[in-house]
Amino acid sequence: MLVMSGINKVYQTEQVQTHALREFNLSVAEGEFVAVTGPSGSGKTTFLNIAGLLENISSGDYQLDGQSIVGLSDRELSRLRNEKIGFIFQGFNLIPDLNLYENVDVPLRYRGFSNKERKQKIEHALETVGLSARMKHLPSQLSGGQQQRVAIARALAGEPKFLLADEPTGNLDSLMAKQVMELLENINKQGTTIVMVTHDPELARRAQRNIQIVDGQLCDFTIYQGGTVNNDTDKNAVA
Amino acid sequence: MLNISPIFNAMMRNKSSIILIVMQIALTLAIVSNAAFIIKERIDTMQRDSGLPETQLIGFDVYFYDDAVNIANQLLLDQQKLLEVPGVIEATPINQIPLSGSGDSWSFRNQLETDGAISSGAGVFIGNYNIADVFGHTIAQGRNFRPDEFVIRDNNGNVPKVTIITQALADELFPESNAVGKFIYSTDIPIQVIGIIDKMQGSWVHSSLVEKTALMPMINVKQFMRFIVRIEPKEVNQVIASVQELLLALENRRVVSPAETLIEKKERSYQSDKLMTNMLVVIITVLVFITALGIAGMTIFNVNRRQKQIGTRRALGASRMEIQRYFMTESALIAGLGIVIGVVLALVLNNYLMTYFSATSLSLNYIVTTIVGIVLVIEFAVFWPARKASMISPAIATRSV
Ligand SMILES: Nc1ncnc2c1ncn2[C@@H]1O[C@H](COP(=O)(O)OP(=O)(O)OP(=O)(O)O)[C@@H](O)[C@H]1O
Ligand SMILES: [Mg+2]
Repeated sequence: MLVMSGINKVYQTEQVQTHALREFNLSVAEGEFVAVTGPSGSGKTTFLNIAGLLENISSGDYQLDGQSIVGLSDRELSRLRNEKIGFIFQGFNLIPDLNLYENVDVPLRYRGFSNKERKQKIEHALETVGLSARMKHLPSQLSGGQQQRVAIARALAGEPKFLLADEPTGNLDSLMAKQVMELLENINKQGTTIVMVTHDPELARRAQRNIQIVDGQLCDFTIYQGGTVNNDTDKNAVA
Repeated sequence: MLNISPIFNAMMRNKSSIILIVMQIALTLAIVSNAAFIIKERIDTMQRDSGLPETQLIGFDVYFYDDAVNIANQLLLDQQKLLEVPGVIEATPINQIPLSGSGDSWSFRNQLETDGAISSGAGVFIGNYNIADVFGHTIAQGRNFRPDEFVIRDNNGNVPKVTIITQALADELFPESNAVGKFIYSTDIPIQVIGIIDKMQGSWVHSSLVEKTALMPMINVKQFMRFIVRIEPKEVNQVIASVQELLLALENRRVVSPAETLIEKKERSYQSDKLMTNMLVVIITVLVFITALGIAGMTIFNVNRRQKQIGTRRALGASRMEIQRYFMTESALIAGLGIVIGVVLALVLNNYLMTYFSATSLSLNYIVTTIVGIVLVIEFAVFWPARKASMISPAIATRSV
């Protein structure tokens, strides 16, 4: 599903050069639920952005769903994001001037689905997150947990193979965080690959596999649901 | 793929942020379309054919303050001497100078009895029998004046018996028949129309009588007289420079004003129109510029305010093109709202101008042209801010909380 090999990401600002990822290798198989942890500033968001085609890489190779993304045009990258990837953000990132229905509609319109298809997908997605009754509400009329559920509906509506979440529960209290986590687990059970960055070791433990990024490099602690800890730091154990 | 409805819905949830710019566009449309229309009308008026060789004709005033001078004789002598000046083609003493803004008009009837008569005012130019030649007219129908038809009117009540009139005056007085040979009446003395000229504008360029002109072979002796002289183009400046001196040498108990071409007289008559059009052009330019700045400023503001939203849209699959198109579409919708209101305002404003300033009814072309212009200016103004929006990195979606 996702294969990163020898990826480097360097941020160059006027004075400082930040090596956010160094010689980063990782592969995630289809259907996995991977939790990413690590200290602040270690490169988790950078990794997620690269995985989600939001940022380009300085060097290395990245294959998404069997296709190398190196050298693709903005159009092609946008198309890939739209079709294959769903995003969930810490700050929900709902568009404040659009109601829930319209928010979920955003990626579907970029995809070019017909009116009928979109309507059906939006209604289905909102139903999945339990918010069908509030389609005409604006995001500001919802609680944080509800907003994040809408964001999940939006990420899911186009049926992407791959869901990326950066601290999806970071702005939620523990009860709401738990609901969101359960939702993500259900989605994963339906076959969607999920990579989730989190600070919360409790939530991380619920994922199939945990990886840790430290100083731009990967420390792979793969925890299978059976409970075995596989402390294999060098290469990706799962294929 | 048109995505108008969500853009429109989002806009409508933020009415307060667009209301000012919508009103600005509406007002710009209303004012610019009316102003453009007024400009066009004024320019058309200024560019009308006067039916006169303006560059070759000069005019000046002569004021006889001394009763001892025999004015009629002096004028005829002056005319003779002027005709001897190199470059002078024709000359005549005259009562008024075309396009100058001052002169006389008479009222004419097409029959003796006032009851049931058609009557019309007309600018009346009275000079020697060569008056039509001085103005360079060709007689379209009928004939020119004969020397024996010329009369001098001092206090003896002499009145010319013949006149040459413009086609416009002929059409007014005799709408159904040929005017040549017919009699017209200012008092109860019949004056025969012996010839028709195509066109000659009178003294008041803004009058409805401007095209209605009559020529008569007479000197109406008064203290205040004028001359009109037609000159070879190359000699015009030379004659203007020498004419004052020439006439004063012949008789110095009078004042002779500096001579001017009809072009100069005409420019003075149209000065207010010129000023008005210039002012309106400035107003149009400033308004359109301010509107362009306004919408560009609003877009820049919106782009900055919505950075995270733009990043999110990019993350959800919008290409750069689609982001650019979003802002171009949004401004087009705002322009559209402004235009709908603006068309109404434009018509209301035109109606007001018609009622209070005798403007004419605004032709729809001006509204349409202005709309096209405004939309182009707005999309041009928004292009760069929209492009800037499209350059926002999608990473901003995860980077800013
Ligand atoms: N646009 C940028 N320009 C320059 N440096 C950047 C940029 N984005 C991130 N960095 C740097 O790259 C490093 C990794 O940042 P990143 O956001 O990936 O960390 P993180 O693990 O997500 O941290 P946190 O847990 O606080 O979210 C940091 O040192 C950060 O300052
Ligand atoms: Mg982060």
